[in-house]
Amino acid sequence: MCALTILASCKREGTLNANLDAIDQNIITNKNATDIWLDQNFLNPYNIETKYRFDRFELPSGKNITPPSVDQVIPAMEMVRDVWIKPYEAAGGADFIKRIAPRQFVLAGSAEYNSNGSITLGTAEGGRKIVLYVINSFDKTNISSVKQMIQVIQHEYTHILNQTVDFTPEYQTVSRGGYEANWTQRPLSEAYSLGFITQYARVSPVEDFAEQSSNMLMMGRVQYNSIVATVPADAQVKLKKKEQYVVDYFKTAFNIDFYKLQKEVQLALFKVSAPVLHRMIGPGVGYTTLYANPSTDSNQSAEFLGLWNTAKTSMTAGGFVLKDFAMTFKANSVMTLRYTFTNAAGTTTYFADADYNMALNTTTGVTTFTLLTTQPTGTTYSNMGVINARMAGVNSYFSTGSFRINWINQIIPGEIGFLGSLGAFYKTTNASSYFYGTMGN
Amino acid sequence: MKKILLYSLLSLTLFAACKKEEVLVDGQRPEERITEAVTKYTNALTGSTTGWKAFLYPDGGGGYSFYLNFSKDNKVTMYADLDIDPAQTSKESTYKVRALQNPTLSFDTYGYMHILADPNPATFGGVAGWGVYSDFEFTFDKLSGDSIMLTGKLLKSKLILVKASQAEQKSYNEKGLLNSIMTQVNYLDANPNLYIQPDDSGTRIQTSFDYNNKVFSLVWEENGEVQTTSTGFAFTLTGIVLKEPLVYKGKNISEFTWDTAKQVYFTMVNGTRIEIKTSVTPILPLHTILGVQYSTITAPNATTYPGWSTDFQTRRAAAAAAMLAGPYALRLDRMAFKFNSIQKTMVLTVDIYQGTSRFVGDFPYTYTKTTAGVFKFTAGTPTGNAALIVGNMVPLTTQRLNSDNFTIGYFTHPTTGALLGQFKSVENPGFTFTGALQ
Repeated sequence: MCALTILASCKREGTLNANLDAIDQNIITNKNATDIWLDQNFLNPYNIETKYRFDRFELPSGKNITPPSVDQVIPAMEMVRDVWIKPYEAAGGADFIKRIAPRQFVLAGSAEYNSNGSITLGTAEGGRKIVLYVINSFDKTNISSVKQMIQVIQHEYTHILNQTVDFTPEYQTVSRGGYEANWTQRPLSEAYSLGFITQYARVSPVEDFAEQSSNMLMMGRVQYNSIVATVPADAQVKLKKKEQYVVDYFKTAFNIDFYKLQKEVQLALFKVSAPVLHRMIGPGVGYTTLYANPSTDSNQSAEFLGLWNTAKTSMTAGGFVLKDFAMTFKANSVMTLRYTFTNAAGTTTYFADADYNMALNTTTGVTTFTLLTTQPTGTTYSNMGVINARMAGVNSYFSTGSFRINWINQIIPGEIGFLGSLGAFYKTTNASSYFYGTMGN
Repeated sequence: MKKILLYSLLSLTLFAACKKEEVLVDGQRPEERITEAVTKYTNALTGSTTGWKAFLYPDGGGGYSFYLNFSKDNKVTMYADLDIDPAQTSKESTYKVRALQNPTLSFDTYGYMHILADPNPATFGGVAGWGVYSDFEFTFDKLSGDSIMLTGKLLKSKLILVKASQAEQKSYNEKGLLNSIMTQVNYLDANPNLYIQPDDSGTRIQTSFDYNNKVFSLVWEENGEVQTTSTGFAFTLTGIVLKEPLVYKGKNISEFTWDTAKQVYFTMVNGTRIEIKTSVTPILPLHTILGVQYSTITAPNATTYPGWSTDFQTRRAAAAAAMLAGPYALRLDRMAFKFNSIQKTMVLTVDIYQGTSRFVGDFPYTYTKTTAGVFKFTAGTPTGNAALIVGNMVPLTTQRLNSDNFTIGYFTHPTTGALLGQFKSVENPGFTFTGALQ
């Protein structure tokens, strides 16, 4: 009763008519072109505020962090929209980001420097705000700059999704015992061998999940699979398990096809920088295999197909059926060529292997194949001796002159940069002579 | 019943307290006072239509000048004396006067001022995480006449704004700052030995402009010791301004102006014009700055050299021959004399080669020095490989360095023009030798 008295007594003193405009730090009275653009692209459609003007209270206290340059804001946020938001809308529905999103981006021009010598490129707080650093060195035409920034958002956004729907506790059992607070001191190779996709993933299961998901999105399947293939066998099992947990999580929690989302992210990145095939070849990098069946392929070049058919006829005369060939791109510039063939009845399948040195110029994308003088031993390699004379024309095609590596989408329209995309090796002396195959790993 | 009474009394008190608060001390609500303060400072900043000359003295040292022009729509354009580009190309960023605990001027997007605070050392050097320890948010300390004094919020750097004249604004917009800096830097590079003689005694006081770190120093000799006083400086359209006045015997020096006609710096002290003079040789005697500016005099591997007397050459040759004839067949190479003016020690490091393998022998000394600059070296126990050549070195050490008094002065290499340091025995004036100063 006495409290009521007090309230009443105060209330009677008059209405509150304070004008707090001068005290409220967030009122921008003179909106410039950048403010208006942010309103139109983030605030109005998604109810996401972007704060680029320096506000010490939005940043870690006691740290010296410089603000962004105004002209860096729109280029950075364009990439946030195109590489982060749009793919989620494509895979999760037009209102996905409207429903679950951070409410605020805070932009910082520099990095945050930590006492352990590392620098922080992004942080998220309670699903509400994401701080993006190093905006001043951002370059929207530089793919690594774009990847670095969006990686941060994908990582932090995974946390936000996890705060909405938790991931399965079994996830943390996959790399049990590998979590390590002192992650900066541990090498990447060790992280890989324990089934972590990055060093930072070792901090905790929550960070592991965010690293796993964000790296799969940003690397794309080609690169991710290629990295997984280079780690020890038991770690491969762990990484594949984690991949499956992530895919299942997106499906069950949000009804999102993770691989579709991953593809949309890659397509957005391809707009920043179109995928270059010869930079996507090799273990740990991207594609490791090319598979071709010239007899059924729609568009092998006349010269190559002619040689293939001659070889096929010769094989038939020898009592074999030539099926297809594959190239495997290995470490140390080794390419293993494999022909697959059967006996006349088609009941037994044989492989014939030969190792070549693949001298790829990573700048021009031009390569040669030179048969290695010392071949590994084993049945598949000795099989090549059996059919060598019959395959001579095709073998000679591979080892003669040089090839320029590129997609074949000018001849056979199709997607580039994904698993199953078609890659071709064009003779540098005559671009209408080539062979192509399905790129995979 | 008692309790009810107590509560009633309490509520009465509170009621009274509420009521009392209605009367504001100065008749203004807090938000009104803050609005007024923010408006006052914003108006002050935008009030100078010809902009402001700004002098920023970071907590980390040095000084930097800016030209700032604040617009009413929270934009600010800048020039700065940080580098060639900032001095000639204006850059626009934003600012805001904020009502934090105190009214605060926040340069809230990246402009030239932030370069100093940039935590990435690749931007402007300094320390990772901090740059050169500077601020870009300041609280207003004082508005006085045409000046505004501010203090950095994070690191307490000092910022002073002074209204620019129309002529100054025009100059900044026509590369005046860059031209001023280039003229001065070229002069400073061409004239490494600058000094003033501020009083009738004729004492030469070295003036040192470290324009990379923006530190200005006065250096002079007093009773054989070097005295130094330093402060930050910033370039202006007409010269340099010091962070705070440097005092020499009661004379305050707070700026230097470049005299375009006479091509000299000058400053006014109590109505008297003091000019900076140039010298071909260093201003201070070598003995005062051994161990301070230069730590080592290195005599090269040679049989003859400019400034080496016949006596030294003979004695060096004798030592060299003895070593070579010794059981290890050692070849005498260069000799370095390294001074520590605080410990009053000097170490003679002798390079000796056996074939192509280099070994060193250290001969440690302590020394005393008179105010006139006469050194007396006292030998300690040779260490390391020095033991192998102690006997061989006698003509140079025991017979001269360990026993004589020495003066150490400048010597100019007659062909290269390089400045060398020269030892000269007081007792045996025919014993002199030189070496490179480092």
